[in-house]
Formats: sequence, structure tokens, C-alpha cells
Amino acid sequence: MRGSIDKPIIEMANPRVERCHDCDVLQEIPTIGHGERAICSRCDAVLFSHKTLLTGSAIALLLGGLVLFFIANLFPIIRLNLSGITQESRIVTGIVVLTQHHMQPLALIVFITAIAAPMCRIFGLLYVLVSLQYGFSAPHLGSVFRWVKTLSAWSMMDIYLLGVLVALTKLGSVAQLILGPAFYAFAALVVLLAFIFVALDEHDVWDRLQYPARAT
Amino acid sequence: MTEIVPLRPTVCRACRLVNDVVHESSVRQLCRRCRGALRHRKPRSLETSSACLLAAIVLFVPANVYPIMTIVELGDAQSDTIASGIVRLIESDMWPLALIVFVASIVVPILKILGISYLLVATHRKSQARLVARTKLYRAIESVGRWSMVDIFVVAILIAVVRLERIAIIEPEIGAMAFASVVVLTMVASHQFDPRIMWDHAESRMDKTERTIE
Repeated sequence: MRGSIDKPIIEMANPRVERCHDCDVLQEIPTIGHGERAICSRCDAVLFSHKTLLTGSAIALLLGGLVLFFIANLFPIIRLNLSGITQESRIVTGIVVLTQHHMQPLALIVFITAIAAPMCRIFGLLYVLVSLQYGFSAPHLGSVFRWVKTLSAWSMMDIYLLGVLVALTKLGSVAQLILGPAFYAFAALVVLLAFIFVALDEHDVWDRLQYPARAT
Repeated sequence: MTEIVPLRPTVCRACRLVNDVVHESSVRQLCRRCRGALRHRKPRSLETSSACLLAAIVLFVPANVYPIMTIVELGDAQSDTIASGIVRLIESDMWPLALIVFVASIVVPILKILGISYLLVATHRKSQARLVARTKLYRAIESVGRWSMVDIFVVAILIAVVRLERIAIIEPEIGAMAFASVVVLTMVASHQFDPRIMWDHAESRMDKTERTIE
């Protein structure tokens, strides 16, 4: 809900005057069409972009992503074959082994970036979108959506995927490594999440969230 | 008598809603929409950013000197640093992957440290030069920083799958801790840097020049 009463005077005269988040210059935002972007006149930051993924479709894709997330974490991601002995490992195994080597800080970083942050982003975005789609006035929607955005820098599933590929080639001489079922679920999830976060109109979601007109 | 408090329209960095905030206030103010901490500018932005950057520069040395992991195969131990890991990828003819890891683990951290240093020094000196280019540099640093974590994940994956006692085992080494710290610290340093401050500084200097001319 975008009321006009909460806007400073200068912005009441024109409904679309905003400040750039990177260089703070005040400027008029033109109405933009499909696939277009509004760029800051001073520092070229993308202020708004018009995107078209529907909330309902995003929810469906996220539910699929949730299934992939559980497959990716519960099944082995990589298998080792060395003279008849096989050994499997999951994403969480690496974290457990790090704690066994007394590297708890490193284990925590890997846990947050490979498991916790992506999971919080999927659940958080589902919470916000389901509430908007079905008109629930669920609590803390704004905070949750802010965290979905904040965690994007710390959610590193795409980089983990690259790490798996590097690990595969690194051991070529020592032992044979085979990709497990979780790898394919993980790869599909990375693509799916990248698509959702690129195609979802973040500013449209913000505009649809309710918030008080005056600061409290 | 009620005191008139000067309000200042401030854009929320998270959700981009324009809020009116009390200027120079020590009170914690929250964005109406996303409840995130809202300040006209990030408090102690340059100080926090410099501190994290300095810590990252110090840790950059052990991160590259000490091994990140050790491969023990039938009693034969071989330690890998970040650089020797890349050399080994090249030796096994995996040069596209070697190139990716080289860029992610060596080029990106170095450029990030140099880039943030440049931003901090230029802002501190209230430079007016290349403001647009500097803002773009800030955005580039923010977006590529995460990719340096790839070597840490390689270690986390290999130690998990290769743990056959007496045959082959891979152990994490202290260099991995230092390297992960460098990545996290440079990420925090760039998050803490508020690009609006360099525009403020440039503008304040421009105002001063105008006044002297008058």
C-alpha cells in the first residue's frame, strides 16, 4: 500500500521521486515498461526494474526448490571409489569433519553459506509470498523479506557447486570420485533459485507490503 | 514547548523506502516497512570498513603461505597451498578450471583489497575525482567477493569424502581458516562502506569552493 500522506512534501507533488540508494541524489523515476530498468542519472545504479514472475508461479517454483533442497542435503553428493572401497559424503559431512579437526569457525562459515542461508532464503521468501498471495496479515513480513535480501550475499550454493567440480578433478590421480544423486538436485536447485531471484520483482513485493504511514 | 526536531528524508538501504529520520540522532531508528536499522549514513562506516580491511590484509599472508589442506596417501603426505592447488590443476590439464580458481582465489581477493583501500583513501581525502567510476567499483566489489569461497568448499568436500584411515586421508590445515577469514572480512568491509559518504564529502568540498569564490 502506497499512501501519499507519508511522503515528504517534495515527493507529494510528484508520485515517483526517489533517492538513489548508492549516491543519495533525488530524482524523478519514469514509468517503466516490461524488461526496462530505471537507472540513476548520476551513478548508474539500477533503481527499479520491471519484472514479470507472478507470485503464484514463484510459490510453485519455491515448493519445488524445497523438495530439491531436502534431496540435496539428505542424499550423498559425492562418492569415492578406491580399490574396491566406496565412501559417501553429504554436504553436512564436511562440516562435521571440520569440527573434528577443531576448526569450528570454518565449520560455521561453511554451514551458514552452504546450508543455513539458502534454507532461510527459501523459507523466508515462501512465507512472504504465500502471505501476499492469500492475503494473510502475517507478522514481520518486512523484516523477513529484508533478511531474504541481506542473506543473498552469504548464500553460496552456486559457489559450492563449482567447488564440487574442482574437487572432482583434484583427486583424479588418487582415487575415483563419482557424483551422487544430491549433486544433480543441488545443481537444479541452484538454477531454479537463480531464476526465481532474477525474475521476481522485488520492488513490487515491497510495494505490496503494508506498513505504518508514520515512523513509530 | 515542544522542540522542533529537524527531519531528514533518508532512503532505506534494504527496501529503498524513503523515511524521515531525526538527523544526527543517537536513538536507534527503524524503517517503517522492513524494520531495518535506519541511519542517514552507516555509522562509523569508514572506521569499521578500514578495521576489517586491515585485518584482512594481515591474514592474507598466512592464507597464502600456509597450506589449506594435506593429502596423505599410503603414508605419503603432500600439502597444498592456494597457489600449489592451482598449479596442480594446470598439471592435470584442467586449465579452464584452473583459470576459474585462479581468478576466484587470487585475482579477486587482491583486487578487492586494493579496491576497498582505494575507496577508503579517496573518501577520506574527500576526493571529487571519478565519483561515478568509484561507485561502480563499489558495486563490482560487492558482487564478486563471494566467489573467493570456492577453495574453502573444495577443502570441505575433499575432507568429507577422503577419510580412509591408513589408505588415503585429507586433512584441513590452518591456511584454510586464514583464507576464509580474509574472504569474510573483505565482504564485511565492503558491506560496511557507505558509498553515499563519498558523494557527501565531494559535495561538501564543492560547497566550500563555491563559498570561497563568492
